Amino acid sequence: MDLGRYESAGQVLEAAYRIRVKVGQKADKNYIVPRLKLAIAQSDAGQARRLIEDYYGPIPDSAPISIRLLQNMQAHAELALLTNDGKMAASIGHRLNETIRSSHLEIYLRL
Amino acid sequence: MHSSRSVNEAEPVLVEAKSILDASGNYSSPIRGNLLAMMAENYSSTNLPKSLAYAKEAIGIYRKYPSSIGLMQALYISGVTSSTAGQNEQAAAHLREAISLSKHFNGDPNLDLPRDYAYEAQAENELNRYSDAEEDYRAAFNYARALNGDQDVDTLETESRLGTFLVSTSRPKQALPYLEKAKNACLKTKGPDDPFYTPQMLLQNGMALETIGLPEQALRFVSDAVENRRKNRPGTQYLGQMLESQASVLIGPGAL
Repeated sequence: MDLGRYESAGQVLEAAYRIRVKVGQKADKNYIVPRLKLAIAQSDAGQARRLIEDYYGPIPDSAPISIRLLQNMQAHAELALLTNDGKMAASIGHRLNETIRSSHLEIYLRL
Repeated sequence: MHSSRSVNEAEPVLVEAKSILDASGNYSSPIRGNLLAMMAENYSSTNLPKSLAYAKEAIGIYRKYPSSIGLMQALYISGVTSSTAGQNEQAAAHLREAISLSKHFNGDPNLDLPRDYAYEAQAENELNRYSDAEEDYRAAFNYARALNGDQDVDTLETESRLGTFLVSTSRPKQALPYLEKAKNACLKTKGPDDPFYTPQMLLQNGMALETIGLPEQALRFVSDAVENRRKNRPGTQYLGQMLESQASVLIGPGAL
């Protein structure tokens, strides 16, 4: 079975989006994360940046740990890698690791 | 209404009932509360804002009276719909109150508790209250198994949800036996064409397999779930969620 089927994935996401509009459900992580994953897989840095900015915004300087915060950091690190900014990616990755390790939720949040 | 295959089948009847109550100036009776709760449930998979508004109005009416089974049911519907809408603080609070009322009116244990605890756990999970969520997922599963046995649908549902939670909190090896057992029991008792439980079991098992790095197996299960849902419940919110999961698997392994 072939994976990496980006065109099919895009069509499936469009169908999912139409259902969201129809039932009045806002875009949440279930929709945004695969959209972002697709943009990164297709090396579409512009689209990835737009999705990250629209959904996550910048990484906050200080915020309580949450799945959303970790996904935000992970998304920024992936975007940095995509744009060949290895230094930034490593910096975010280090901070992500420290955020998890210093949390009482570490047992639940191993990456 | 639960057994209807058309989510719109009940709507004309409910709307007519509401117009009768409106015409007679009945804006605050428990009967109206009951009708509004039914309308909230009716719209829960097709129009979330409408469903939330009706649930809120139903709760407001019931709170004018002593605690009742009607209030319990309205809180439950509001809890589930709030969770779907991402309003998880409200979802957890309403479900916690529904559980308390359920134990008061229906005893402990009772058949509603597995479902109620499972939804409360889901909201707590979204709020990063993992310890509370795990406790409630396990309560849901233990109540279901004790009340109904290993192959009942509530047992399958709660077992599958506990497994999915364990995957999402970094314990896939603990999760897989729950998920495999639930899926296999579901296929055995309900069959592959069952429109309610089978697609959910297939989806959850598939997404767990993707998480642990088995995307080919995952895609097979997720695609079967989507095909089932397209056939039986096209255009619904859960089909949308399934499609988003299918897209993620189609893209292939990635960091996100």
